[in-house]
Amino acid sequence: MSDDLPLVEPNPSVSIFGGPRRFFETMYNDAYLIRNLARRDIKSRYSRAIIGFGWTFLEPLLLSIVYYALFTILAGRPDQLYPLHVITGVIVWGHFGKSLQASVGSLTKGKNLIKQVYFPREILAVSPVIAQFCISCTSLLAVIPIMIYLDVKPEWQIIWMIPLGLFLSTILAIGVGMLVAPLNAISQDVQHLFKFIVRAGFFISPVMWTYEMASDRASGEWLDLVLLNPMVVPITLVRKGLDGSELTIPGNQIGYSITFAISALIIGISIFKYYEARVVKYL
Amino acid sequence: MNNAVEINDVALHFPKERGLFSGILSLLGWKKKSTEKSYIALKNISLNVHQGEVLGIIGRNGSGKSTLLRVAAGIYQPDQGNVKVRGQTSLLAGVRVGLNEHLTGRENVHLYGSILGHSQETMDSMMDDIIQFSEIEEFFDQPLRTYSSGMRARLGIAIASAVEPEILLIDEVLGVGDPQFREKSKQRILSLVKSTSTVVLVSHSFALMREICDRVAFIHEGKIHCIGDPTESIRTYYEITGKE
Repeated sequence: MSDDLPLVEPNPSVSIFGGPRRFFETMYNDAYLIRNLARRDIKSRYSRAIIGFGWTFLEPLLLSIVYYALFTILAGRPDQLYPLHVITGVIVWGHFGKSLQASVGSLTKGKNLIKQVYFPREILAVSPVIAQFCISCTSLLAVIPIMIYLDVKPEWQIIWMIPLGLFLSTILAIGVGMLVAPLNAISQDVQHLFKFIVRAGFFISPVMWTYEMASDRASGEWLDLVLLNPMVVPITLVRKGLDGSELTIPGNQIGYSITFAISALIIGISIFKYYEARVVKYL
Repeated sequence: MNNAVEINDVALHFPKERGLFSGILSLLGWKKKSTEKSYIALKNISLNVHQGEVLGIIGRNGSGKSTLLRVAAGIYQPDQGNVKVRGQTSLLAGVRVGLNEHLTGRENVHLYGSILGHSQETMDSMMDDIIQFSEIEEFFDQPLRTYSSGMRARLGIAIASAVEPEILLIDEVLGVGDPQFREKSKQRILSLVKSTSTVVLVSHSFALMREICDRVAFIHEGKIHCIGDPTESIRTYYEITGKE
């Protein structure tokens, strides 16, 4: 019988420093639930469309054509590798933006579930990002025909640059998303603000432009300002991984981006775990 | 006798005001919790549920019954006091929220089962039982959007009641589907109640309460008005809230 079980609090509160540990335990212990929720997100996104999963390729391809045309009109004839660069930018930025928005809105979107069952709520913030990660990785296959057409062959650096770039953008999205998800539960203004940030961030991140274009025109403090954006390094890493050219971003800037993303994740988890139980009452 | 659930001096209030700024202030603890700006759902409730008993909770709509169950399930953290449980709790409430339109019946068993905290092995082993109980048969590998609402409800009940927890919390889940299934799901829940050691049941069905509860607590305006013999508590309920 259950006589030998101890009396415990059903959902004990977490100290601000205990959050990350609890988070990683949950990721391990509740892998089955996370997998099921991610599968639900992927399946429900495309299940009512005839083209279905084909949209993962079509969307970035079509967007890239639009940006390519726009760039040609605004700035004249671009570099030969520009189509490859723009589609990589679109995919990596799209991955970050969609993951961030899913994570920011995770508590509000899952409120019916939250009010009926207790489970660690960070799962709701992480599972849509995992779903988005799978979709973005598939989208990235759309670069293969472009690479064949442009006759670009990747170098060995692809094996660490693409995973690192995608990893950094993913943990950055989860970190920032979890940091503000409790606030969004109080007021959905936050969600609208982040929708705007994702749109505006598109222009100040190297999606339509590349790091090389920026470093050709700007130097000194201006270039440092561009590099403050923690998404410059992830996008550039994925680009370099694909086109095989040399990474010209200074090492300390890469270190900054990695530190930024990891700190965002740790801070985001701590804040989320600390306030999660309290904000549930606002849902 | 051991207690399965101990609720000590629990108070819980819900914020009324939804402003971002005041919300941040109260989260940071820089603002005094004023009673005008929050709705008090539970006022200093203390309640022990003994191991092996079936405890009923009755009260008007909005009296705090469901909130109390959610505090015991860990969904809401009390603002004051503490809650302790011995073993895994399972809340049967709104059995359709865990289901997804686009997944098949089988995939939904895994999804909802995992939401309820069960492992993959458990759900695999319960699969045949769920298929049989929910009477869904050939639709089971079809997406849920092809199901009738009765079929969805049956699937939800079948999954939610498949695994016996140590402490079962029930919030008005009876009364879905056609009369035949309603009777069947009542039987299923009754047999779950019998096989589970400890049950807390919120219901408006007083006949059922008299039949299966060892004790009944009457909650009125966020406080426990009385607790004890089912017939006594139900009589007090009518004295306080007016006759039928």
